[in-house]
Amino acid sequence: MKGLYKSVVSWAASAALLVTGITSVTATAESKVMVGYPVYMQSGNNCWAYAVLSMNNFLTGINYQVEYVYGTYITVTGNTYVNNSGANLDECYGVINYLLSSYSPTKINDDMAFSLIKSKVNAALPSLIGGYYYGNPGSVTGHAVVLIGYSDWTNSDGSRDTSIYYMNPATGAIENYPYNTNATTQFFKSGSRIFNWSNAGSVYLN
Amino acid sequence: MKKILTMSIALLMSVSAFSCGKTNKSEIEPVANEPSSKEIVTTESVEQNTKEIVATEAAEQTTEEHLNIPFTGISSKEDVRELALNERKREVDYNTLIGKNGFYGIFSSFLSPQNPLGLREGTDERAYIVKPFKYAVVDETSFLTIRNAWYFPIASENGRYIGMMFADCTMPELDDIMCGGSEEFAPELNEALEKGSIAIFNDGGLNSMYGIYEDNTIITLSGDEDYKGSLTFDEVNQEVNLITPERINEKIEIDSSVYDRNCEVELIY
Repeated sequence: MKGLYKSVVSWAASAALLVTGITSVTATAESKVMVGYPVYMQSGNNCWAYAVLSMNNFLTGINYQVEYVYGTYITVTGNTYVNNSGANLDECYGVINYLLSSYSPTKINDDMAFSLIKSKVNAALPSLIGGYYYGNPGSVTGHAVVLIGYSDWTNSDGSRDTSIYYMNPATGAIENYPYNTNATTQFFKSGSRIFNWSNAGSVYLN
Repeated sequence: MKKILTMSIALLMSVSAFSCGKTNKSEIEPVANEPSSKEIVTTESVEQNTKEIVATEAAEQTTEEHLNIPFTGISSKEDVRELALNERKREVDYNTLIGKNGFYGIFSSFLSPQNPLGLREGTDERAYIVKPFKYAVVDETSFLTIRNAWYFPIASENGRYIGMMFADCTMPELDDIMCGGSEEFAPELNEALEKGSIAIFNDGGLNSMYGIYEDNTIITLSGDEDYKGSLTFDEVNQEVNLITPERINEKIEIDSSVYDRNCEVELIY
């Protein structure tokens, strides 16, 4: 219910921006976010499904329900989706490839280079990004969010602050986390935990 | 020196793997970025060393093997509590985080007129940072620990919390600590503080946050479940997690030039 509320608020905010005529194209802006991106909150262990659903609904403009994604999962994998079992990167890729085949999805077992992030956001193409949270020995929790924007701020000393914006089904919110262009490992946060993106992988559209 | 350091790390990794009963190959492989010599020198015991390495692994697993773990977004409360108990307890002065590692880039999202984070309270071009807090981790019957992470509340000039920046102090290197930004439970915090001071706590749920008043009533700040436990305010309150209504006036000084930067965000339709 809260997810629905947040979703409505998000869409309403987007609508408000449209009404007020904010198209916000400035010559110097180097930060971009997809406006009107659906914000969902997961209901169980189904972050992946809401992540995929948001991508599908954003690009098709149709408000499908999460069961539509489950149905596609069954079609793609040949297996019945067991509620709360989650889906791995390969399965997410399979479902995205089926639903959004015209976008020729690409799966990589890594994070995305910042230049790649920019090109996808500039083309209004959301990307599913995964993360691993390492808990107690032997315990790894996977999580999926959707990358919908980036920022490339310039400081007074000329240095750059780069970051990513993403829709996080776990919190039902858009979040912003630094992207370290000098590091080989990238992270994102969900709630009060940091997830390793580089180990989990990404699915982007073309 | 590097050889000695490498041998030390190998020894510590062995201790870690043995004491933790790990069998997963990916978990006992050395991490790509070795802990600094300073960290090893300042580590006081083998037990502490083990925790240091576990914390390093937890935050910075770099495996050659792609694990393909299912994306679920949920971790058990027991697991989260256990991790909080065993996480790196290194003290990080929040002042050292101000302005570091993309800090102002994230802060700028709260200033941007386009409201890229979709904040319900809106953005404010003169928003400011409030003295940060940490939160307590509890179970149904007892206080367990203080989570080693700072929440920096962001407030608007009209005295409302609009969002928060979050820094996990357990990251392997001090330079790895970065602040993420989002709305978090800022609107709910505004509402909660109308009734008085609260001590912030979490019961292990990845998205659960609660506040407890001095009269021991509890308010849910985020998450779908109400807290089911019997803790009192005195048990939960550890000072660092206490938020008073007046706290919003405790402004953190930052580089004022951040207010001069272009915070425009282009909206992609």
